[in-house]
Amino acid sequence: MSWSMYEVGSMLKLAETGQLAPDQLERAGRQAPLAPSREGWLAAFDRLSAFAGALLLGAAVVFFFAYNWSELDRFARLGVATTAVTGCVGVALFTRPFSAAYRAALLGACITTGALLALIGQTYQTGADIWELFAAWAALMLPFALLARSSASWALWLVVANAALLRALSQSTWFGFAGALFDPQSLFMVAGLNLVILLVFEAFGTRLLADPRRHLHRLAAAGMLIPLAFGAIVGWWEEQFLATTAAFVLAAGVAVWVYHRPHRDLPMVALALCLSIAVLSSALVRYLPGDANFLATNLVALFVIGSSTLAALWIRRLHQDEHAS
Amino acid sequence: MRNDSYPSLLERLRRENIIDEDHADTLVRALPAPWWLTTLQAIAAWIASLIIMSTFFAPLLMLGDGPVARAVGGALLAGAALALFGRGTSFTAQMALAFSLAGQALLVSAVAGGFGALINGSTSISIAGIAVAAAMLVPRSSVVHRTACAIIALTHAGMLIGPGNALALFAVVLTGAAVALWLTRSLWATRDQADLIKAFAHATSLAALIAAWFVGVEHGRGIFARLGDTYPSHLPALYPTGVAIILLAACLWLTRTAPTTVRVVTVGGTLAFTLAAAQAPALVVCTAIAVAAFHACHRPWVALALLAALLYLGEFYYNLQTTLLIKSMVLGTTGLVLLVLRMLVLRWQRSFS
Repeated sequence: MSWSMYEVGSMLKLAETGQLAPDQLERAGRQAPLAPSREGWLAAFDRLSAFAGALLLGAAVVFFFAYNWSELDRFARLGVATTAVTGCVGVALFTRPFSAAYRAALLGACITTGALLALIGQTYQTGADIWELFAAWAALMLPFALLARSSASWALWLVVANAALLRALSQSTWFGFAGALFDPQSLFMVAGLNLVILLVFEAFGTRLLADPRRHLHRLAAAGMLIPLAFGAIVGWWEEQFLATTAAFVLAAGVAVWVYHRPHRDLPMVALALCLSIAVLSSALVRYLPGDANFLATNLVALFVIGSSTLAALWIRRLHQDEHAS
Repeated sequence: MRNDSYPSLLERLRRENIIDEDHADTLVRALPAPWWLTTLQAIAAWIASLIIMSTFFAPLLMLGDGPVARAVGGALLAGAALALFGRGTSFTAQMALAFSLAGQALLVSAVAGGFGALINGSTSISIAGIAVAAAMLVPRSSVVHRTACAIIALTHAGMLIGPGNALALFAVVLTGAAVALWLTRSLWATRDQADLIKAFAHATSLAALIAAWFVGVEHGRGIFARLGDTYPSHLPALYPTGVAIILLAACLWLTRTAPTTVRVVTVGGTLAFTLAAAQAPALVVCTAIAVAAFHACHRPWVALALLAALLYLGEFYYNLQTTLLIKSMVLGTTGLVLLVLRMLVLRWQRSFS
């Protein structure tokens, strides 16, 4: 019999906070050592040495090419980048589907695809805008993400797709990707893209992900709610953003209702509530009389404290109920 | 398959008669808040604290921005922080942390003669910083607060020592302390001062990883140059040697009850790794902390140490002390050593089974 790493870590944590008495910890230690077993060490060494060894050798190859980069002609440079993509795909072909190595290799293919596109743009001076590079990257890595069915590959795809849209919508040369935040229609488009992705993952998540975790759903929900919340906050001061305020109220309300009851997902509920508190606090800042005087400012602070505490208590109770049942 | 969750652990503890039914119920009710809720609460608490502090202290400092006003303001904030820690909720703990850090900055700035001097640094500021942080470390508070205070004290100590061999020795001591504390976690976990010791374990681990950034890679040279200090032209030999000894000692301690063959293989492998990575000692520091944290079953520090190793690898690229070709050879040799060791261990394991 042995304790798992999680069990030992949790027991030691309980002991440190006085929730487990010294004699209880001693009893647990008599049943099995309070440390990783020999098998645990060997498994960790096996995984870490394989990963670190491959990583260091890979880095050595990158450093070697970087040392000789200026001596390489453009065809050789493209050859190096293409070999990196092909190498990653090759590793994926010869490993067990959906194993850690398979998913890591396809994530590598996703990343090196971007590097290859950047190199093509730099070598041939295609004149393409940066959003076109991101859009092409998102489109070309999509097959790898579909094959990998891993959260990491999908998360990268989501970030690149958002970057493409943000850069395409941004008219500002000064604010780069953030330029899109100054226009309500742009905020709606970013929120819309993430809403579509969220709905797709809610409907087909089991087919798109090998491991049914909800990281992607939450990332997409954040991508939808945060731009709307930003617009809602600005909306208290700028009339043209008022539509985003209404959209945020609707989106946050639906999110709290859906993820509280039919599709229980408490981090989503917490995110929607936290953003709602931020939007309501901004409304207080805007409409409380006294323009940033002592009383008004402290009332806002009290509202933040009170509402956050209530929200946290409610979510914590739901969390405890979930674990108790 | 094992179900690694809090309720399943409690169920197992109850089944093994380590805790009784009532104790299990108490522990269920004390279920720790999930990290995402704690993070959201922390953000809200910090915003509220900043609003409150700005309304109280901006007028105070506008009325009399002198050492006395700052010292009084700092003492008030520090007192409020200690009072809030007594409330025991995670929201008030975060507010107290914000108050305490602001209070410490005000108290030290009272000694320094202004906030600008805090950035430039001086001996008196470092001594005041250590004294204030140490004073705030002692009263009972949260582990996060105690960790923050310990990190502040260690940072001031590092600045007081200044660049050179003494700083390299300090970085070695920090690494040794972090490794020793994690290796002995099961021994101090039930002590009365476990909270304080754990805060030191967190602080020394973080400080050792940051010190490796300053001492073990080129980046530190630029930071010290910006601060107006000179930095030794070569990496002090003391540092790679010191951290290599720590990793070897940790491996020897971990295999103290193992058969001689296992000890010889472990020490031989570690020695080969430290020799190959002598030019990149930060990798040795990360490995030592990851190994010790793994023994302590503290997954966040295992992950953080490995993440730090990845970051160092990126920084190593810009190290101007050696050419990319030499660096390529160093990394290639280290990677090869690891893969050969893995192959040998697997073969040796098969021959025993």
